[in-house]
Amino acid sequence: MSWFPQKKTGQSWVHRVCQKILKSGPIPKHVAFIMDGNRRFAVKNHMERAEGHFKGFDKLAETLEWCLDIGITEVTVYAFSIENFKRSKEEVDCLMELARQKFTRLMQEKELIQKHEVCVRVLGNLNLLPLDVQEVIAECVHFSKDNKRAVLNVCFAYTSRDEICAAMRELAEGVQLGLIRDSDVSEELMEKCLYTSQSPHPDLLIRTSGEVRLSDFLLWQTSYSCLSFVDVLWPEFSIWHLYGAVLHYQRNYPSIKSAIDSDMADRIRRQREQDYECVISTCDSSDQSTSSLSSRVHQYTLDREARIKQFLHHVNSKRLHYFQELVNRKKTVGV
Amino acid sequence: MYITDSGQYCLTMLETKLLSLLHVLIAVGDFLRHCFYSLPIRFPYQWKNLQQKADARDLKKVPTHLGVIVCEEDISLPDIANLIVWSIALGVSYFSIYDLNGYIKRKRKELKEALDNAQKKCLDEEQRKYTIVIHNDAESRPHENGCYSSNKIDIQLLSKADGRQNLVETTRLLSQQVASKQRRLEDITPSTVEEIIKEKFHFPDPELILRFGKGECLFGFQPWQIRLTEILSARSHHNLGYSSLTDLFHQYGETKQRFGR
Repeated sequence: MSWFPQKKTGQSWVHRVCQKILKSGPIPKHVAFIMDGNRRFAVKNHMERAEGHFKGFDKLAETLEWCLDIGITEVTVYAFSIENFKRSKEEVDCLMELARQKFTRLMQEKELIQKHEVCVRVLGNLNLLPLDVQEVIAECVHFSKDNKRAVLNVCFAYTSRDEICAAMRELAEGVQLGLIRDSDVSEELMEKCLYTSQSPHPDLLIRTSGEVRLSDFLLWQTSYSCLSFVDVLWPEFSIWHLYGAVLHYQRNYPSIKSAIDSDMADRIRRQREQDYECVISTCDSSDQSTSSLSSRVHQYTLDREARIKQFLHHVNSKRLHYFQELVNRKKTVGV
Repeated sequence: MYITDSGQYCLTMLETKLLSLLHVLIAVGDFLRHCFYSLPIRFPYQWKNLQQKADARDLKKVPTHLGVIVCEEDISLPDIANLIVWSIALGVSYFSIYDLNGYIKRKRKELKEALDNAQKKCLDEEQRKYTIVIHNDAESRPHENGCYSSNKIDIQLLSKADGRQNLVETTRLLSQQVASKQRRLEDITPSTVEEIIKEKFHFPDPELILRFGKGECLFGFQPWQIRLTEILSARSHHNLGYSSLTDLFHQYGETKQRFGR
């Protein structure tokens, strides 16, 4: 099945009315999915495991459409965990084949990507994947990187702890190279080094199959996300489950919103204190007047922001370079 | 079809009203369900030790480390103390008590008193064979003092400062170590980070988090530690009965971990 279902799946007037009603309340902008239950679905329906995974993919394509209809413009899915490499070789190969096929298919639908203006990002430790899978992923990411209307993040060879460590290495390297100081490290800067640096945090996390844990998925990013655990196997997930999850989000919205706002205020306060402390610790002479202190703090803030800007430019260009190189290699091998 | 502005306005109003009505209905349904589940007659403060033992035997599994997230404006320390004492009876030996703004953290003394009271109510003096230690940031953590009895119960009080901010501090530390060549860049792996965090907190990762109150959300609870934690919610910790707690533990007992396989 294609990434873009040809006919509108189940878009009746009932759905349109429901959407209109739901949209009169807050709608999450970014939703994360843990698509759990493909294998149990296969067992339940006496299928091959592989078939369960294929059914799971079809459901994803359908769900993306439902999300766009309702105003959810960014979706992040947990496709393959680093832990999943522990599964039988047969199943891992099957999942790699699924990825190979689907990303190749996506590249055959270039005009549809452009038409829908979809940006596809793949997040994870891609080096763990077979080279040809890396290449086809890089091609998709590179091709769609400037699209803005809708974003799909596919977490592949991903775990959150691994992601956090990758960000830590990035920052430690920045300190080592002298681009930033260790005191410049903050929550905000760490977020800019995570794989999800270009996305806002998910507003809503949906996990299917009734499990009630995060399983090493977006641990940092979902600190203030509304959690929705749905007791249905992923291939059986329906538009009504999605509506239910949105209602759940709306019910929890006020308390979560106020927690996020106060956290943002805390961050700003902490940063100001940090800047102040850094200036205090560097000035030894005690004959500075208050006015010059405040101007020095101001200067320090400007310097810090400049350092961070340069560092982030370095980080991003490294990432772009990685994908560019893979794309180039594919081209040369392909010819 | 031509729709006038006022017609459009009425339609929008209608949609908003319908959505509000829907939310009211859900809230009512939720409340009724809550009432239904708390129907069986419970005697929260008057149960026998015998009953606890039976309950504990029935449970399929019990977490070693229990996290409690309180997201209610009004926090009742006696209820939290009851929850802790009952959970100890069920076999829990580590607790992380969390609220976003660190209210409980500041009420350490009061919690200790509430715990003493709860212990007196629940168990005969002779059966109280364990000691409860409430840890603070600056204080010694479990294992640090070398001797620890098997009957020691460790409690840590957490706020959001122990969450993402702790990872920021870890990153600063690692950056300094890399810059001063004490550590190589490639050595920053989940296991090293885990080591550093364990050094600070000394607690295993919680197997279960109980979340009380409005807002189905973790509210910044330690992100690193909750990788495999089961998250269960209850309406409120106020007047939480013993059987409501065992219900939650039974629910936890039904969950299965596959660790990616």
